[in-house]
Amino acid sequence: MGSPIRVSVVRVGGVAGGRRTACLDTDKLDESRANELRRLVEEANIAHVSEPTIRSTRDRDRFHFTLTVQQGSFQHSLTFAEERTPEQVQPLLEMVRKEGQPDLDDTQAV
Amino acid sequence: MTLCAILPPQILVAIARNGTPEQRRRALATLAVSERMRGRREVRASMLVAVPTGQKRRTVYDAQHATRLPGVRVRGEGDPDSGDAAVDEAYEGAGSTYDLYFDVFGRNSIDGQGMRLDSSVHYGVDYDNAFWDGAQMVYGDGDGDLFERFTISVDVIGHELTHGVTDHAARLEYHDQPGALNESISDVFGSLVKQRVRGEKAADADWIIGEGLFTSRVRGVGLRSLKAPGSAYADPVLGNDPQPSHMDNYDRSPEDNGGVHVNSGIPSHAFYLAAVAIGGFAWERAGRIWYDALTKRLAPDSDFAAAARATQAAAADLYGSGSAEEKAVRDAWSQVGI
Repeated sequence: MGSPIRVSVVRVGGVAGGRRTACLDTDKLDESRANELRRLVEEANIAHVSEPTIRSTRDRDRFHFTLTVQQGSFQHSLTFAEERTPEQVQPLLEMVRKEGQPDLDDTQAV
Repeated sequence: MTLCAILPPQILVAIARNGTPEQRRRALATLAVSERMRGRREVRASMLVAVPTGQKRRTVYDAQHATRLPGVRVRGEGDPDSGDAAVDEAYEGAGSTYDLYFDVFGRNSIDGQGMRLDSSVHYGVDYDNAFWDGAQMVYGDGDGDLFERFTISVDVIGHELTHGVTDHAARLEYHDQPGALNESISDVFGSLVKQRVRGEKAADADWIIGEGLFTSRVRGVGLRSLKAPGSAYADPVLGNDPQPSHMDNYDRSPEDNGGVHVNSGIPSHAFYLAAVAIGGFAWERAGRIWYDALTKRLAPDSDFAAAARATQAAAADLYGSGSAEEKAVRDAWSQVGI
């Protein structure tokens, strides 16, 4: 099974502005959802995604996301504009946003 | 409506500009006849200057909860109400925004040349946002928990369409102070659309952006307040409205392109102060000053100080050096720390 995985998402921007967080922890999920999270983390493989451009060129009022995966001593973050979401990251992002809880460890949250 | 040649040319030109498509067609035909009868070439010349190549051309698409744009065409220019609130609000709001730019500032659509006004509604699932993608407006339905559909506030529609205008005018970069200025201009003209629809004077308007957008669960009146930045909401889930109204509280976080939706409070509040000091309908003089700055004086890298200089110069040009308008603009920027 490997060590526990924690995935957090910070969403900023949008016409409304503001900051929203969500996180999912394999330790706090039932086995099937925990396995699904592990599968999506592997699929997203964010350590090997080349950093997409953060800045929007044409789009205005889009969201920006920072996705962070923690597993043991491994921690990796990726920040990207909504319209430049890497394809392989999309399913993981969706799962955390839909099933995640607000990230209480996020100290910047207002 | 029957148009008689007895109408003076300037009235016909006005109808040709502002009438329905059928009224426009008749007015143009009448002008052409008048010209032949009277041999007045200048009538045609003035008509060609006065009548832009385009006219209001709205199309609303239904993204059907997907994210592929634009989606299925559901309402075109002149079509009756669809019965779908999001579709009809997007259509009407685009019309009210077009009308502000055309009637008040003489601008024919986003690019000044009659660009089509395309909107897509029902974008994504529970999508808490509206955006401009560089070519069209896009609206989510909201999650229903915190946010209602994003077409519900006409100023949000004006905000998105104004991003298109800015891209065709000052082309302000979308980060840091130029980006916050870009956001502020969208809020300023969005607010003017709302005030004009309601017939409100500057002193009577609420200056709230996104009124009605929050569900009843949220403690707040809207997304932002130009009158009192930082006061629009204070909610356990959404937190507190983070907008500053003075440079002393400028947010230096790199998030959201350097706080473009936060620091916009500073120039927006300057506009509010100028508009109230000038008095009357905000779009008539304060709006004209800001429009003049946006279209003639600001550059892609303009910061707040450049905007202060640009709007003061515009006020001096339009209303005279030393005029009450120029003073109101100067004082307004001074009050926000510029």
